[in-house]
Amino acid sequence: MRRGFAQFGLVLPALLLAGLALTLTGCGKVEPPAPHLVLEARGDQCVEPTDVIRRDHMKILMHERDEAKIYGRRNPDHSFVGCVDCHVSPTASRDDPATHFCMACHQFNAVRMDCFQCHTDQPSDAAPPKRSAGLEESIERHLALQADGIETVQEISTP
Amino acid sequence: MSTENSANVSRRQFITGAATAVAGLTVAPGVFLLKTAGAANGADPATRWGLLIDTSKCADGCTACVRACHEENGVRSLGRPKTDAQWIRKVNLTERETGHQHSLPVMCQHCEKPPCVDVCPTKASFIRPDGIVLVNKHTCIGCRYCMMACPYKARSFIHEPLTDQKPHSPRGKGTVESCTLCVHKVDRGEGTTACVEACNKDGHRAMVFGDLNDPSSEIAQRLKQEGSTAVRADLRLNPAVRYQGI
Repeated sequence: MRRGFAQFGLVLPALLLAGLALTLTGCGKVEPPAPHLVLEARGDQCVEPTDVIRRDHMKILMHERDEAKIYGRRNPDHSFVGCVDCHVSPTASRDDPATHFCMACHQFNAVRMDCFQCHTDQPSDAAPPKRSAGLEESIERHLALQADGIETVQEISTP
Repeated sequence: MSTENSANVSRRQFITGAATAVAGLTVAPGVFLLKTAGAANGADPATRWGLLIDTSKCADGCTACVRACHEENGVRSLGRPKTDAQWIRKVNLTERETGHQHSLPVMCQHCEKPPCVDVCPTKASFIRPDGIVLVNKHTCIGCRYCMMACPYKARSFIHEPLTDQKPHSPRGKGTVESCTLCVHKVDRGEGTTACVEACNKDGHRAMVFGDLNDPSSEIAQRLKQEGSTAVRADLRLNPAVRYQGI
């Protein structure tokens, strides 16, 4: 009996360790994403310490967007696309804020942002397989309408 | 690193264009943005990107460039041709006297003196140091003055909410947009555009992309030797998109 207890005493920490290891492994994974869950970052760590990012991510993005757009000086560490690529799940959507890394927090804090009115709300590796078929069809339609609709083609007149 | 010091470094880099050092920019107290400013980082004011289009090689009915452009930038039809965005379009020309027909692609001509920049009330329409004319959608208010000012009808207004944009090509309702000369490719150093790639892939080789200011580049040499036409040259806008055979 005493031997049994001794065995149990060894097994219990081992079980705890295994559980911890499993939990930690689960944390870094993106696939398969659980519904209504804000997913963890894919990378090992963010480009800046968490408290800096929490407080100043908007300043970093706002400052460098003009640098990138107007002068073409792009900083890969502080790119908007980089944030989305790392943090947002491929299945997340701006229409369902609970699934979206950025939108969930912004909704909770009641801070409206309009980034995703223009920028894609999904990581770049999620884009091609999901949409190529629809896009092809849409471009076909676009070209067909363009060929039919005479008004869309402007005659460039010379004086 | 003091704020003053870092501002000086950044200023010197901006003026000289000798961007090889590491610049520290202060965003907010305690936040420093460290970034390497290499030759590939930033639009080089010494270059001027442009296109040369040989209309004699441009096949009638071929829409490879239009398709490639719209696929690259995620431009698609919403089923309303009058308001659908067009970054590039094929224009068919017929000479009245002889009936000779040819077709050519027309997109933003990336003028040296762009009228769209002159009229923009928020400076959202701007010209990059390397000559690419763009719309900064962060500051565009959608007034569409630039669309009226552009003699090439190169710009489109987005009337409806969009989804499924490309990561490198943000587009949204209430802003004006046009050909970006595939600025994302230029910034990645690929030295080509989607339309040129598509034209070469189809074997027409009607379009050449390159640096107009580099005398050794293919485009500059061909422009020098063969000559070219600027559409609406009378406006003296000095477009970076040049045509041959019209």
